[in-house]
Amino acid sequence: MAFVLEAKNLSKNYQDKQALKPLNLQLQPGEIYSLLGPNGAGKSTTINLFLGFIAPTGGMALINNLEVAQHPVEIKRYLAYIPEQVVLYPNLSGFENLSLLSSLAGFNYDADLLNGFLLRSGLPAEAINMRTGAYSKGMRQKVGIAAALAKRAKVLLLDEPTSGLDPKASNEFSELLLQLSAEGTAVFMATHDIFRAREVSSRIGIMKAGQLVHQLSSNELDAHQLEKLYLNYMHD
Amino acid sequence: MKKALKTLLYTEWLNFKTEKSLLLFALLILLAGGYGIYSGRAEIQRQRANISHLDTLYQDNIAELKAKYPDTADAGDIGYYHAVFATHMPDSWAALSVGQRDANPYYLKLRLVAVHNQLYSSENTNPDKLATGSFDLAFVLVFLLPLFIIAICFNLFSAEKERGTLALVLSQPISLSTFLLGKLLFRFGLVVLLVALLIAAGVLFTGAQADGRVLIWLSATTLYSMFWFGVCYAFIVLKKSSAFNAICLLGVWLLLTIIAPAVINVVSQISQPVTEGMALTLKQREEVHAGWDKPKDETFKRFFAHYPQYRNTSPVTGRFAWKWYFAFQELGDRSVESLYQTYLSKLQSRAELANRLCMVSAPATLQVLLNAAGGTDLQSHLGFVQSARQFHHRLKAYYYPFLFTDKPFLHADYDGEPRHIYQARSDAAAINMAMLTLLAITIIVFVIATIIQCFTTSELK
Repeated sequence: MAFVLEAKNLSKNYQDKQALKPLNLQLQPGEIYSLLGPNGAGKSTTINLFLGFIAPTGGMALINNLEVAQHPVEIKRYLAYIPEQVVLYPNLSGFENLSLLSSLAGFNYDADLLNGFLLRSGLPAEAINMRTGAYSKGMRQKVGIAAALAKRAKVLLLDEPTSGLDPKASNEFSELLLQLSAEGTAVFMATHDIFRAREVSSRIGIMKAGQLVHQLSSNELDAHQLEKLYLNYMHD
Repeated sequence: MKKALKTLLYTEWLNFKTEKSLLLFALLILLAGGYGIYSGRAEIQRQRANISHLDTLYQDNIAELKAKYPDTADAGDIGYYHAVFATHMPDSWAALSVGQRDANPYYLKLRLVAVHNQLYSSENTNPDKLATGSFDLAFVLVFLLPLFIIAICFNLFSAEKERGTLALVLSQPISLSTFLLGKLLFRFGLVVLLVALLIAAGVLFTGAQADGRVLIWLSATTLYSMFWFGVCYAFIVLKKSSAFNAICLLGVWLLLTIIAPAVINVVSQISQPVTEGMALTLKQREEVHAGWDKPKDETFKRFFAHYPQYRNTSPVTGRFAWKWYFAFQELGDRSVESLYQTYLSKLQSRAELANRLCMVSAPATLQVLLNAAGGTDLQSHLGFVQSARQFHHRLKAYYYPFLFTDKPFLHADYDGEPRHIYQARSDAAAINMAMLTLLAITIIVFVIATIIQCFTTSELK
């Protein structure tokens, strides 16, 4: 089966510091992959390499079989990205922000469809036309989710997506990820949330000091065993 | 790309409508431009009013002389006591770019006596006021418009990066160049619109003739705006912080609008010194004063060498005669003729050198262009002084026959006296040169910005 996200000996150095040691990874459509690791482990660097925001020092990142460094614009047609902090244009409403993002992605949605994406992401109907400057973090996150939904992307890149969300919102988010996965979207998620990762992911990777030190299927261990394994790596 | 640009332009418009600082900046530039138009118009209206009042002064002077000499008069009395005016009439565009009209005299009071001292006499003016120049539309466009462009562009990329909006936008299939182009295009459109509004308001409010100069002003200010957008772009693509960009761009503004013109002025004065002015004044003064002590025959002999047609004039027998007086005045002028020609040519060379040096500063180039279009530059003033000097020749040609043929001056003869108006005109050659210079500077800036972009990391994090 073709991979929609792939890293081939992908590495990144910043001067003498090796931020990402050669990484090999493949994701199939519908797969959810969670990357666990402490701050500075290289999780965000990996995501930024897949986004083309930074250039690899070695190896290559591929999205939908296209090398990111060679096709920095085209690969973005196939991926959606939700950063840890979704920052929107504060003077525009959630609707206008979504309209901008989906229009830049090449879609011409009418108002009903855009409202539909926002509602599906869990944004309250009364907030849709409010300026996003007045939104909470969770509400901004939902606009980011709506933008990802509207993009109908093959790959969803998430960088600490549930950080700062309340348990209910986190739970809704997990359900949404499972729905997207069922629809064939591959999800690559960097997170600290071991329990959430165990709950939604099909595979989990543990990263430490720029290196992927362990990979496992989520059904190999329960959440507590996973936490113990994770902490063992962190204490080494 | 076309669709993405359209989307970005629309989003910028939505942001602009709600972004108070942008709206405030735009309003400020409109207000400053409005005041510039008003102020320039007031200055030129004052000059026009003064010029039209000169006729009243002229007629009053004639009435006084007619009263003093009820029948006939010696033309020497009239030539000595009667003042005529050489006027530098402003062009209809002068109010939009007052240029040097506030520093140089726009009329000269002339009598038949030696002309050189009269050409350079002018009213005392507050030097502080002269140093700051006029607050006209050209001032707003040359000095304040770049600040407006810097204010709306300095954080065009950095603010998005610092705020965090960039990540989400650039995770869409658009390149950073397209994103920046969209934002720059919107701002450029806004600037061109504001400038066009101001120029249109200026033309309507000051009564400037709606001729090809509308296009010249629009093209020049558009090129000038492009130059500043290019400068901003060169710093934007460095991807540094907003604070870094703001400080650097203000530094460039200071360098190009304040320091460079001052350096150009100093360099042109040092490289092309004009020392003949003082020498000319002193020499003429000495020659005229010495005329009182020289034998009359010697004075007339030298005078007749230039005016052989008056060789048969009646001899002067008494201690004083006007024809003798005006003869040595004439000789005073002629004694400095070569100095005057050198003085003029050096002034001309200095002006040309200054205009060439202006190439290093787009603001100085635009100022030269706008002044040339409004006929308010140094060239126009030099043209006026030359014309005033020729007018003095015409005056002499009118009065000398009375003086040297002992013909009485009648009341009716006032009507035949020559009058003078020098109409300021735009200088097409200077405009073309400045326009080409602006174009070249703008292209150079964009080439530099592109080179910087090529050598700057494409990474966003």
